[in-house]
Amino acid sequence: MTRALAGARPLIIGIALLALSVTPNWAGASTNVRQLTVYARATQFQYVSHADDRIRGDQTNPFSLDAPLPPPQKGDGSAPAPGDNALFTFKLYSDRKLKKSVGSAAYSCTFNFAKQALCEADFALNDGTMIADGPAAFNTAQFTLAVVSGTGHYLSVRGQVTSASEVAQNVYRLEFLLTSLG
Amino acid sequence: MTVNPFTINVKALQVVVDTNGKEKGNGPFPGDDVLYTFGLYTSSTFTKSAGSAMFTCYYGFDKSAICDTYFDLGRGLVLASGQVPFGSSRFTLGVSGGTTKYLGARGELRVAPGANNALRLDLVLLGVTK
Repeated sequence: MTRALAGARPLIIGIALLALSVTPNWAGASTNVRQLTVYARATQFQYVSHADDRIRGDQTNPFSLDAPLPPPQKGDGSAPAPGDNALFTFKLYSDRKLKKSVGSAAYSCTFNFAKQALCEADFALNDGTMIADGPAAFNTAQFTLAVVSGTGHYLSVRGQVTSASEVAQNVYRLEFLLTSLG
Repeated sequence: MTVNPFTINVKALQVVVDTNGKEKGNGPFPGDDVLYTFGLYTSSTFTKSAGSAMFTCYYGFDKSAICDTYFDLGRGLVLASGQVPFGSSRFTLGVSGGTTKYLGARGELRVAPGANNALRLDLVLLGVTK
């Protein structure tokens, strides 16, 4: 059962920045940031629609907000609707010709609003894994996730991964920018 | 679900069953989820936009949810996640990462009631340049 509430409730945000001695320097070259490029070819896809339970979730739920909100989004008649899921698996290669396999990847995405999803990605490489989270707009060909953790060679890694579509169908170039890499 | 990766002795576990059958007054129940979007502003006058935020929350037991959030602050994303009790107006999430200007970010996000029916977010970031 999935419920979706669209809201425009304002939040106030205050930002405190505390710079550490080891920090990425985005503007310039830095030895603390390493780049890794792999190529991904989609192998499996599963879309999970929760439309059969959406009415019950929208109308019978305990969530009452204290500020006026726009009505819950039902979708525009075409998938995806808020709360729907999309699952993907990929094979990963180190070269553009997809000759040398370096592992696999799995994405689990939950749609929110305006065909944007929050995706959690697991990259299982030969020397360790990396976990990345973040938003992906399904009406664009490029998106960037934050790398939040890893194992093996990527233990305690942080960074980001940008996915961009290649010329070949179902092939994507993944550009990792990694910090805290041993 | 008799087959799962967490235990081989399922019968020993307490199984949560909604005997009341009604979410209102009794929920949220384990497995429920809720999605929120927010506009972000630099002050309680809501005159200057600071970006947007998205909360995706999945409820577990005792009406407590695990929320995954991301904040689009214009110069990059900040991701945070953590536990949020149902109805709570004060909670703290852990910052798990970021992109672009916030690459490699760590820290915490403190949420508390703010003025003008808003929430106040204090984002404390480590590992980010100015």
